[in-house]
Amino acid sequence: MGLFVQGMSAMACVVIALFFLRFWQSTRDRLFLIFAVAFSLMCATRIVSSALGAAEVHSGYVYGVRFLAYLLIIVAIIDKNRPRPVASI
Amino acid sequence: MVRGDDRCESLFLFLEADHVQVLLLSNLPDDVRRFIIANLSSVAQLEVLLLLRDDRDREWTADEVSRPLYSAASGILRELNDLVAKGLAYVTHAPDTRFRYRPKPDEEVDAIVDRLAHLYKERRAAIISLIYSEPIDKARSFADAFRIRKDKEQ
Amino acid sequence: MAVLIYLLCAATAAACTILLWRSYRINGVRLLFWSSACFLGLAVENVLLHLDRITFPHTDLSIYWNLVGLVSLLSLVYGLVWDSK
Repeated sequence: MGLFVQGMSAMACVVIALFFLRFWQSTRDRLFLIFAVAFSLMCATRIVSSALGAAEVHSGYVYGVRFLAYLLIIVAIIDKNRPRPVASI
Repeated sequence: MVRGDDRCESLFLFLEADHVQVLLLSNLPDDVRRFIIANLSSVAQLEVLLLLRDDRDREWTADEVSRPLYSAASGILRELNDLVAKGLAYVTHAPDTRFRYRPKPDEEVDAIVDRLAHLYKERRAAIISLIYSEPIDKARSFADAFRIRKDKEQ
Repeated sequence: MAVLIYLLCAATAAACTILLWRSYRINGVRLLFWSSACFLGLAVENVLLHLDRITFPHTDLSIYWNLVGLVSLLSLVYGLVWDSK
């Protein structure tokens, strides 16, 4: 059951990442690209964790990748809030 | 709008107008605003909805609706069918095609339309400009959600 | 550090929830509702992970955070499929 749920979650992450990639392509907003990578990493978390087996769900590899994913989301938010040069009139 | 070679000034005026519009929009109650964005695509449609609501037990033909609104019946018929599709009106086909006000998840939507009717008397400009405001780009609104300070944008 | 990681992830997800919810309240775009729901779920998932690892190390809570994670991700998938046009 655990493996099945993790597989479903991994698939959902892939779908979400693809949507964000499409948004990135249409808006050229870097936030979407970073989110796409973050959700790919969340997918990786699930794959690594199911590959390592139930005993290792809290191994450093798994939460390391997870942390990286969330770190990217923070980076995306900071990037979005950086003061940007105002277009001159 | 302003035509002239002083572009700077016209842009400034434009920004001012935009800002006023944002103020007007932001003062509308959330539920009414969401209802408008989700359901109404033109002022004609809003007026059809309010007309039906004012006489809620009457069954109207498209022709009868078009007369007090001074509009072509064919256009009105399109709006009426759209209202039916959105679950705001009810249609019978026997003996002829007639429409009646009937909001679907009854009381809640009915209460919102009530408030909308009041607001349309008092804040007509705000409501009309909301109906004709640009359709919201969903992807963009997702990205903009992560902007912590919003007041400087737009 | 390892102790804090899940809580940091939870805090990030919670921040996303708040930002998305705030915008949803303003413009009523349903995609933002589902995104906000997703990040709320991810925040809960990380809190559960923290409980699993730190607070109740001898109880297996994996089925709970797995399911919460799946439901949150699916809510975002739903939002993206139906409300992103």
